[in-house]
Parts: sequence; structure tokens; C-alpha cells
Amino acid sequence: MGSAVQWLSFSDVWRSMGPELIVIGGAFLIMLIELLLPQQQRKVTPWLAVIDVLLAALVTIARFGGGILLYSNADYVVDGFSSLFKLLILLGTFFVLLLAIAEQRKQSLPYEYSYLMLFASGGAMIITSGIDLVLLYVGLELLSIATYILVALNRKDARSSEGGLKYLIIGSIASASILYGLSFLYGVAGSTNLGQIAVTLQNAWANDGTILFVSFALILAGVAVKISVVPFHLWTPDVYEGAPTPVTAYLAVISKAAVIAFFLRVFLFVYGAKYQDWWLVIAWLAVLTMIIGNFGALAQRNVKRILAYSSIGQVGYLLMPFAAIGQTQNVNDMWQALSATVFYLFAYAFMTIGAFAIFGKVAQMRGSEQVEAFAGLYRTHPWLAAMMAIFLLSLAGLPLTGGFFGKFMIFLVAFNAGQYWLGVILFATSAVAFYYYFGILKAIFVQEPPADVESSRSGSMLTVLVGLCALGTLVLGLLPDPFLHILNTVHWFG
Amino acid sequence: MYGNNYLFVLIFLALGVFLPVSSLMVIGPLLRPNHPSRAKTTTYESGLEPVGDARARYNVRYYLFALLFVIFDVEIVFLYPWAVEYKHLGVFGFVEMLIFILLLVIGLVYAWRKKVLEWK
Repeated sequence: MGSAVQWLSFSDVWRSMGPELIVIGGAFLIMLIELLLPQQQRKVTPWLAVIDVLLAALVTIARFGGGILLYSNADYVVDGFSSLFKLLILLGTFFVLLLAIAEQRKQSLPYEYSYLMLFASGGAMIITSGIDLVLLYVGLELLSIATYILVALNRKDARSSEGGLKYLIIGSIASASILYGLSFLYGVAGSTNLGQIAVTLQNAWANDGTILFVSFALILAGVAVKISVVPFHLWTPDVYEGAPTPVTAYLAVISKAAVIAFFLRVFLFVYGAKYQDWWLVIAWLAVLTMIIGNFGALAQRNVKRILAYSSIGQVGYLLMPFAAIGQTQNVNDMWQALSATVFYLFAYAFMTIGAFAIFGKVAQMRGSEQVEAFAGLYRTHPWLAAMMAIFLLSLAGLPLTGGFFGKFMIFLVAFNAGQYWLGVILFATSAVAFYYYFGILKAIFVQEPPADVESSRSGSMLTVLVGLCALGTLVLGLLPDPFLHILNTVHWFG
Repeated sequence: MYGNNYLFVLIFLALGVFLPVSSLMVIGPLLRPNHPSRAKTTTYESGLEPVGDARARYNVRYYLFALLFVIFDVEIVFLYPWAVEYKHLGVFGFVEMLIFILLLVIGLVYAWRKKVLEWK
């Protein structure tokens, strides 16, 4: 045993992984509580999960801005990047749990979701902080395996089982592809630590350029499957349609945010030097994703599939900052790109979860998932209709909403980096997106409600949740300054 | 160059394809006598008459038990190196291992409460 190995102490573990410990430890505790409680009292378990998430968020906020801390031979890092992504993940999990609780009053979901979501979020949080290949992969698998089960949660529903199986097979292949790419990286560098790999690779580019490009391509392909980048997106509409609505929101927001964090961490750390030669691959993937995501949505009548295709298009916007900065040497451009991505992810979380919440409610009330189910929602449920209008306008990127401001920031990144063509495609595809979002808005505001619909109450839980999401969307659009200040002053990486 | 290591993989791959193909498809048929009969094409079952379909069906519950078994089998794999290095790892390693076993026990409790262990 070399004496260079520095043993961790328990206080180190707590200081570095506090929020993760709360989330994962809490998940085990909630699991035991759920098992030991009698059937009628199990209603409290999702609420325990909500409290757990809030506790972890408090710990994350308390440690925010504490500079950059490295732990365990520099395998685990607490920096601005990880803290912001952790807050995003916890915020998303909080909303999705509330959505699941609201949904559960009508449609009975097994209570397993409360701790499975916590496990998945714990994995997602490990991804944001890990700077070691093995640790990153363990976090990724924890997230993936928990979400495979979540998709198939309604196991008596054939569509849910089908979605679960598809997601399991495709997700496993993606994980295998990522792992294969990481193994080449380890083979060349002889270390699993991202920092050491980056140092070793500086001399290895000349000799092992080919094999490193193979690893780059394999990791990129795996990540592209997980965040549904065209041409790896084909599973997305089926899985999103089959999964229970809260789980769909979870996949669309938290799962994607975490894998984007993985993508940024690995590619900026490891391939940083060579990225200037390969950025065009990502640029074209982003362009294809924006175009096919938005045009694909035009052909759909099922609102859940429309939202699925729209989420594919949104991933194109999220990739764009990193496609745009590929050519520049300027570090400030990279920080700006990170700010734009994180800002858009926050706006995306609010508007997507809100839209899925209202969709779930409407699909339950009207018994249909088609656009027609939204007919005359304004007459029967004015509050839901107004909130849905905010979410859809934000997704489309109209001014005064968080979606607009996020897109604007992404456009500025492309503009500053001199990639005007990417900015043009962003606006052109947004114009396409207007068309299908306005189809839903037309159904809500113009069409008459079906005669036999009784005006049921929307449920206080859902009303509050939707209001919170709308508030977040509007605050990011109208008063973005405090948040932008945080993004501008944060220490992203070590 | 790291890429050169894969040259060996390529050689093994080529040999792996070449040897069986050459011996089974080319050299074998040239050397061996060829007297086919009906009895030679039947399934070999230690001298018994072959009965039934090759695709036998099992109860799916076997797989649940197999999964649970694998988990505790793997636990042993982790316990051995820990036991060997016990003195070196100290209290930290001891508590880590207790946490690990506790997590597995929670899994067992889950299986038990969800009635996986009952054979109906």
C-alpha cells in the first residue's frame, strides 16, 4: 500500500457529499418507512421525500459560493458548476414530487416512485460533482437504472411497460457505449481522474489522436442517446408517451440536466485542448436536433408526443452554446456559454414541468391525450388555461418569459463567437415551434368545450404547483438580474 | 503508442476466425471418413431417448431467487478482501462495510415485504 493514498475521514465525506448523503440516505429511510407502514398510511411517504429534497437543497444553498473544494484525492469536487446543477436537480425533483402527489389522487401510482426519484436524483447529483471516470459512471448508472424502473411504474399499463423496456434496452446500450469510450480514455491516459487525464493527454494527442477521437465519438453517441439528440432520439416520443406524466417530466428535465452536466464536465475537462478541431460535430448535431425536433412535433396530434418532440428541440438549443464556443480560445466565452446553458436549463425546468402538470390534469379530466382534449379549457378552467398559455409561450420563446431570455442568451453566445449561422437556425426553428404551440393555444382559447364536460375543480395541490412553475418562468423572464448576477460571479470550475 | 496494443487484439481476432474455419470447414472434411446415418443426427442425451421440446419453460420466480442469490454472492466477493485488509482499513473500513451490509439487508427486507420470497 503506497503511503500516497490519503484516507478519507467521515467529516470529509459529510463536507463533500452532504446533499447527496441526505438524498440517498433519506431514500433508504423512506423505503424502510414505506415498507413498515400499513397500506393506508403510506400516503405520507411522498411528503417525506419532499422534505428530504428541501433539506438537501438547504445544505446545498448553505455551502454555495464556498469556493472550490476537492476531496478524496481530487475525485470529488464541490464548485459553482456542481452547486448550480445540484440546485437545478433538487428544484426539479421537488416539483416532480409535488406533481406526482397531485396526480396520485386520481390515478394510483405505486409509492415506490418517491424513493426511486430520490435515488435517481442522488445519482444525478453525483454526476455533477464527480471528476473521476468511475464515479461519473456510477452516478450515471444510478440515475439510469432508477429511471428505467420509474418509466415502467404503471406495470399494468401496456404502454408503460413497453416504454420501460425500450428505455431499458436503449439506455443500456448508451451506457455501454459511454463506458467503452471511457475505457479508451483510461487506456491512453492511465488514470481515471479527469484532471490527470487532461494533463497526460496534452502529450498524447500526436500519437493517439485516432483512438482518442474514437473515445470522443463513443462517449458523444452515448450521451446523445441519453439526452435524445438527433439522430439518437427515436426512443424519446414512445418512452415519454408511455411513462406516467410525472416520470415524463422527470426524464425531460432532471435526467437531461444531469447528463448535460456529465457531457460538459467530461468534454471541457478532458477534450478541452482538442475540442477546437471537433466542435463542428457537436454543431451539426445541435442543428439537426433543432430542425428535426421542431419539425417532428408538427406531425403529432398527441400533446404528450408534441411535448416530447419539443423537448428534443430544446436539447438542440442547450447544445448550441457549446457548439458555438468551439472555435474560440477565450475563457470568458466558455463561462458565458455555461451561464447561458444553466440559465436555459432553469427556465426549461419551470416551463416543462408546468406544461406536463397541466397536460396530466387535462388528460385525466377529458380522458384523451390529443390536442382536441384541450378544447375550451379557458371556459372550464381559466386558471389552468392562463398558466398553460405562459408555459407554451415560454417554450416557444416569446418575450417576457424565461424561455425568451434563455434563448436570447444562447443567441448572444453564438453571436459573440462569430457563429451567426447557428443563431439564424435557432430563430428559424423557433418560428416553426410557434406553429404547433399555437395549435394547442387555439384549442384552449378559441374552440368550444365539449358539452358533456362537468367543470371539476383542478385540485389545490396542482393549482399551487402550476402557479409556482409559472412564477419561476416569469421571474426568469422579467427580473433575471439577480440570477444573472449569481451566474456571472460564480466560480465554475477549478 | 497506445493504439498499437490493439494490434494484438486484431491478431487474436484473425486467428480466432481462421483456426476454427480452417479445421472444421476445410481440413476436417478432407481427412475424416464420411458415413452419415439417421442415428448419428439425433440429439445426444447420454444414451437416453430424446423427449420433448428443447425450449423448456421455467417458472419466472426462479429468476427472482437467482437475482437475490447473486446479490449476496457478490457481497461475499467484497467481504473477503475487506477481511484480509481489515487491520489496515481500520474503523473507517469497518463502518463502510457495515453500511454496505445494511444496504443489502434493506434490499432483502424490501423483497420480503413485497412478498417476493413466497412461493405460491
